[in-house]
Amino acid sequence: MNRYRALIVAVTCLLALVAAPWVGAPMAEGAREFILTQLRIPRVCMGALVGAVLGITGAAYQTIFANPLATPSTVGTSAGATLGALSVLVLSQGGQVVGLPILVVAAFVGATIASLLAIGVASSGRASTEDIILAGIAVTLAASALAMGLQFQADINTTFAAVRWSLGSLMVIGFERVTVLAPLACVCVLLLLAQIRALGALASGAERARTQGVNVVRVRTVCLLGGALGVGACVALCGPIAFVGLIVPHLVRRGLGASHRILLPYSALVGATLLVGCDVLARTAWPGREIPVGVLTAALGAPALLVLLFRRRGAA
Amino acid sequence: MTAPIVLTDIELAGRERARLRVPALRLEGSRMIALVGPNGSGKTSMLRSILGLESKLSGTITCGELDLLEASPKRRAASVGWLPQHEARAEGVGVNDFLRGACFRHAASREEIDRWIVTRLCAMDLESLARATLNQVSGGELQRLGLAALMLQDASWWLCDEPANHLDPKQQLLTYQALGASWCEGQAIVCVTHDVNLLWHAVSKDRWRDVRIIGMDRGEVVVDESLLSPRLAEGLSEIYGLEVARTTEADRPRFTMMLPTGGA
Repeated sequence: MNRYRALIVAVTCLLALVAAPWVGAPMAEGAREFILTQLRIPRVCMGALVGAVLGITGAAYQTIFANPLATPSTVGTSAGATLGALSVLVLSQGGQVVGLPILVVAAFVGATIASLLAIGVASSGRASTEDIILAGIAVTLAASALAMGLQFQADINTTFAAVRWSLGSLMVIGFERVTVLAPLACVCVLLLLAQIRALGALASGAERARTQGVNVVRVRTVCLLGGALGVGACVALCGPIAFVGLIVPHLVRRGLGASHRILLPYSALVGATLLVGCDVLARTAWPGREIPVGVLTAALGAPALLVLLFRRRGAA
Repeated sequence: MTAPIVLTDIELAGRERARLRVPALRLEGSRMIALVGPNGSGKTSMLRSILGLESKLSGTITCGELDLLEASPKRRAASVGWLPQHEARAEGVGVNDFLRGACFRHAASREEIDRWIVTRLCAMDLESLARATLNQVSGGELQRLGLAALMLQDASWWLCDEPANHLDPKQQLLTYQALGASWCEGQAIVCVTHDVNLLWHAVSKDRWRDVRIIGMDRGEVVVDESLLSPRLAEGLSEIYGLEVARTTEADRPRFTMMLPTGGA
């Protein structure tokens, strides 16, 4: 039963991703090729990569921290990446004087420093998962305060650019950003997929997994560094996009079960489809204008999370 | 022949005093070992120390040639396996996934592991649970699944922490009989228990003398006797602070804790 359901979900997601570039306002005959190849297809690729990274990272984080609220956002990875990228944006006056790689490196460094703090807490042996989440919240607050301080110091144009970036958007022209993100996203996804067996054992508890042969510190470190790489790149190129990492693993668990053989790959696939779907909505819902996809995911994610919460309570 | 576990100069730091202090202790697999003692006496700490789960530990613990405190998790998992007091019921985790975790140390294909799991579930009459999640099984079934996980892990030693905790009397009996049967087949076992009398039922009469009782108090080993030792009742009395009488019912010895008479 689950196998058929998983197959149906996979086929549906792939069809949705393939169809997404053709959804939207009618294309003028002369501009059709440009709109498709330079705007919509790169944008769908970008959305699919970002959604896949956020979805699978959320699923891995929820397992390594044994906490359904653990995501790149709650353990500080996104905030660290945001601070890193924002520092470059502000110091280089809106990103005009530095290239994409510098932005990505800054976001990765920020995400890694934030994750290292979580790793430090996680590696202390007796740290509970609550300790790690609290450390993540502390990092998030500190990074947010620093980011706001940076924006306050910048001129009005730079601040405006930083605010627009922080809303999260998949708007791209051509494949330049896609080619920067794709290898980093692939490394992140492959690193996390390589941990499927260990994450499956970790689902029964960190101590239980240790006694079964899992090197818990190493698995946590690989997942956090892999997550920092992927999330750092996503944040640098698209701005922070909330809720995908939180909501997608819950959707997959409810629909297809909690087995990590299914959970990890399908969190990537459903995350990709969900973010591309949100982006299609963001660019078609308001004719002539565009809603930042980060705003839309936050607007849709919050009630979706509440529905999940109430359903879970009802089932208990 | 299972390699013995040897603890040397073990000290586990606690807040006010050492939670565990064992100058020298040798555990042989040829004897079924039961750790007894009041709450906080160091039984669980000893198991956790052997399993490498304690960080503030000094001294050495070896299993044959292997230094358990320095070994990699996989090598340690080949030597010692754990049946905790409570299995965590992670939300949505299926029985199969739980048992796959127990096979982590084995370098086997996915198909092979799935085959082992089906065989183990059938052997323990648990095949009806194959598609269930841990939230859907009863306490007794969960305990048996824990035993199935231990068997799949296939470690030289099983360290069982109150395996019959919170089970009804019949399930307690079945759990100890299952452990006793495994020990008789050559599996080395250390088992924390609060009820020494269950051990009379774990193994047949001719093996009672091979059941070793290690009594602990305040982190130290204070009793080390055979189940048949005439000094055991006195030792139990010392560690529990209650008079313990050894009686015989239907040809089976029994220890009875003599609680103080009169109400509160």
